[in-house]
Amino acid sequence: MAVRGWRRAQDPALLVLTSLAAGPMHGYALIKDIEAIAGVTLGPGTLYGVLSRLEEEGFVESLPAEDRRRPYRITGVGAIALRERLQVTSTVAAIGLRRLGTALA
Amino acid sequence: MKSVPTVTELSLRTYPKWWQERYRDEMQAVVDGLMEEGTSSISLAVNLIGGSLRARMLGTGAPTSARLWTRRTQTALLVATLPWFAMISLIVVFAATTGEYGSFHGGTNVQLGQAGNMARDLESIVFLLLIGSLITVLIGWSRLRGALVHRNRGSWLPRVSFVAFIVGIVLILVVLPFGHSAVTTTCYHVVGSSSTYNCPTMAPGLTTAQMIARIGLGFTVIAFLLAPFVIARSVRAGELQIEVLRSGSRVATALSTLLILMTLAISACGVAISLQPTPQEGMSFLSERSALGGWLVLLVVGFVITAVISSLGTFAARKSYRRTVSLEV
Repeated sequence: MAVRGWRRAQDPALLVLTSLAAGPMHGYALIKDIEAIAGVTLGPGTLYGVLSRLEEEGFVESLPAEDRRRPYRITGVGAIALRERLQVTSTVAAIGLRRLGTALA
Repeated sequence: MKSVPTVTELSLRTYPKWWQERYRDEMQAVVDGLMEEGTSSISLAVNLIGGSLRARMLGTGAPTSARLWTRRTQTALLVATLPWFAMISLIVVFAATTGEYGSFHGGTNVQLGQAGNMARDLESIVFLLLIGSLITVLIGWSRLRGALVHRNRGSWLPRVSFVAFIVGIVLILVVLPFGHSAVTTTCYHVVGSSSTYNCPTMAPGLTTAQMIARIGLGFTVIAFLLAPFVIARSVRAGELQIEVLRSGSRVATALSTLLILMTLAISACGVAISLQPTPQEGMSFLSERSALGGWLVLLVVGFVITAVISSLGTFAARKSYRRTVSLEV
């Protein structure tokens, strides 16, 4: 149970940026994509809280609305920030897994 | 016929106006999509209300208008400081229902136990913190009053409240040296019972000093009841200068810290009270007790809620103040 909760503990901002790295998406599509890649369902309150923060920081920008749906896309600054963050995460993950491998061996 | 708004629509309406103008339609589209696939409307509503609280607290996505952020800071300062008035009411209930009581036989001199002493010390700490909070509020009010005095020239409410407070405090302070010997006795009584022990015989009726003290108390209560309205009305009436917002944000920080400390002290006092041994029938004993009994827990919950609201208000006020400063610059 605890392991499952730990696995779900993800940074929503990171998930949104990772999802938008695939291309522009509107709110509902973002929720479904994040569900598919991380197994986490963000609620609309959480999602738009994150989007507004990322928009304010200049990491994402909104595109003209289509009907009631407004797509968002990652900006150049957002892509750089995401890349840096993923590299750090990936380094930590690699070290962690190697150490776990040594410890369990 | 106008349709009844759903729980999710109502939740969306709890967002600030600027947020609704920007995101409401697209959020509604997302909510509709999720509900179509069977997501519970209650869980969506809870998530939306959480998001709305965050939006109100942090102001993320709010337009970069100095006026809007000044108003936000003012509202947050009210949320941070007005709970103090609720806390005072709770402390009055706590003080009126808590005290020493005991039963003495054969002139045995019984002392409070360790937990009882601790409870009594914690009560003293609560009252010291209360005095600290009162001084903080007065400092805050004097600064605010200075900033608002030219704006509310025609308003009678602040004057009535201020005069009532001063008159009340003066009356109480004047009679305090005389009233003290008449009011304070070494009388122990069982809370909730008419039985008394070691009580000197007191003349029936009130002394002049006691009557004056009660009139003073009445004035103070009037000032106390009017104060939240005075503060709310004054603060919402105009736009405060940045220096006033800065001192307001400091006062709010001090006040919410004091409220948290009072809450901790009262909670610990409740625990200490409950740790005392149960008095045995027919035996001499002295305990620190609350007439509230199990309801004391509810009182502590009230303290916690008040302290949490004040702390959230302070957090929002400080954040909002910093943003206002950056926009003013």
